[in-house]
Amino acid sequence: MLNPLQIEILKEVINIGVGKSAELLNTMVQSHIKLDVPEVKIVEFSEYSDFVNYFEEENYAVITLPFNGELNGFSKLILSSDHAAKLVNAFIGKSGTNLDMDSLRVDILSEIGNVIINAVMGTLSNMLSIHLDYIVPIYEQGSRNIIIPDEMIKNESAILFAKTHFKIEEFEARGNFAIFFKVKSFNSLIEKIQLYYEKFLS
Amino acid sequence: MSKVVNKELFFALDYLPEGYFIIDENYKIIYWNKPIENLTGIEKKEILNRLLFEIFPNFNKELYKLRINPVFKGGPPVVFSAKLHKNLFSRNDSDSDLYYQLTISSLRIGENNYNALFAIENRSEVYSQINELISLRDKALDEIDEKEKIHTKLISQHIEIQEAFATVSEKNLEIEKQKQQLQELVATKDKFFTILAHDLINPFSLLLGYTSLLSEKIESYSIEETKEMIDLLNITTQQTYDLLQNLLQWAKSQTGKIIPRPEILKIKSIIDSNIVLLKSNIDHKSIHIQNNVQAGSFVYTDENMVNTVVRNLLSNAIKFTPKNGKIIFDTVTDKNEQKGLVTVCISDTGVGMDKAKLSNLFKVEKSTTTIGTDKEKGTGLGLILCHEFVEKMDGKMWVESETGKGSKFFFSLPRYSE
Repeated sequence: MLNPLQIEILKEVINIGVGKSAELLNTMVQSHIKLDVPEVKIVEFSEYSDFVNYFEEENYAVITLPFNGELNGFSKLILSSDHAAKLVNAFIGKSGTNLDMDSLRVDILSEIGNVIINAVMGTLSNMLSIHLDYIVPIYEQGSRNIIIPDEMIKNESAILFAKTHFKIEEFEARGNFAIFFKVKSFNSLIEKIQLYYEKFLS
Repeated sequence: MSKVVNKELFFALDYLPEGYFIIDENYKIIYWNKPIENLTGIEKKEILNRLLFEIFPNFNKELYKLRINPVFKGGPPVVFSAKLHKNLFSRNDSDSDLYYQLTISSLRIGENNYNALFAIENRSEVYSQINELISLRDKALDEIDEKEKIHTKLISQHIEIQEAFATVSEKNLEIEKQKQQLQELVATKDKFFTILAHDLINPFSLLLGYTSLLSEKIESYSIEETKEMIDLLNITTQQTYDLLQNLLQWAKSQTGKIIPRPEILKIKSIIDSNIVLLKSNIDHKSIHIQNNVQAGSFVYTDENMVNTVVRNLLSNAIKFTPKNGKIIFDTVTDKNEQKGLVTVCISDTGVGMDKAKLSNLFKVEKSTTTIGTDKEKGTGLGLILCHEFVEKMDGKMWVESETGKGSKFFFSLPRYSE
């Protein structure tokens, strides 16, 4: 299990990554985007049901980046349908308002998710010197049951969970960022954090 | 660590249905598959070994390089959405109708050496349908907007019409009220002329007749005959004087010239003085009269007006009460007392009135005169005058009567209290 100091380091990594993604998103949209990460925590396998229950029973858009290499798992950006629609509208304005056009939504959310996930994973990989290989991102939409991949349930994996708030001028959307690590990978992550601490902070 | 991709296998991309091409870290195009030839109309031989931004200038923008460059270090795949980067594959920076969803992934081709694989999905047809839908939606919204405007206008016109109707109705009511007032005025005028024409002409005919007789032939009449004629002249003159008095006061009240000047008055004393005034008439019919009004009742009102009311009511009571009858003044305790009023009742044992007569008693346009039990004449104005005066004094007047059972006239006036 991670100690408070290691959690602080992870918080830092996620915040830097999300900060970088905000810079990039700002170049894509006219309005100023601000991203906050109010809470970062580790969800153990025993807390999975609480984690699922945190998500209300509605539809979700989930952008997933599978990764392997020194760590194995999935990075996910999870948005409820309402907040996903708000986010899409912030990028395309009136032209998409209230239109349930999946193609348009999928394309744009895929890119927004990609920018955020890449920035966080890139930062994690660079700061903690972890080599990762990636597979192309996947877009899914459905109930809250699509949030935790079956593979992760079988492996009793841990989840690094970060609540994310998007503020784009007058409107506000909430999303959640989660990295699902396989058990072995999570132990490797702890080792990498420890190495980083010993090298730069001790 | 991902496996190294053998460049010799790039040709396999020609067998995939989507457009793919590969660039090296210098952005040089090193592979261009068959489907992308069809998609872009650019042949492989024409584009190979050329820099990507020579063909598609937008890729030279820092915004794109910033996101693509990590791919050459094994970074995660990069997605550019068709909607947000519509002109990415535009060749001359002009607006294009081509919508390509682009995913760029790392291809490890050696130790720390990566190429970028561009996968293109053509979304032009989907977006053309979306654009059509958006345009239809906008048109429908514009139509709804227009209809809402018309609807709002109609509602506002409807409200205006309703307001106009309300104004007309108010005007109609006002006209109706004025019409009623006019009818009352006409009735007043008619009454005035009726009285002048009838009630004044008759006594004057009598006065003229008798005075002519006396003037021409006074010597031919005996003293008794002369006295009889002079008595008749005196009674007629008195009655005519009373009539003129009432007529004048009533006319004044109609023109609003009578304004009450209230003072503290002892109501019992007012009644007493009027009994004295009409004593000869009371004695003539041997009527028994009582003034039971409380000595401590004071009213705050106009003396002349209250005198006119008492005199007229008493005079009426005398007129309609047979010989040896009874007239009683009394103070009444009723709900008006709580409103700060003193109520006085004058009851008689006279002929009384039926319901029809009662309902028109205080209406000038309906009033008639009734001959008294001793053939006394009246003007039909007295009660109307009483009613108007009591109301002017902020009081109330009403009557209870039944044919053959006498009448009870009530009037209430503001009580004086220290």
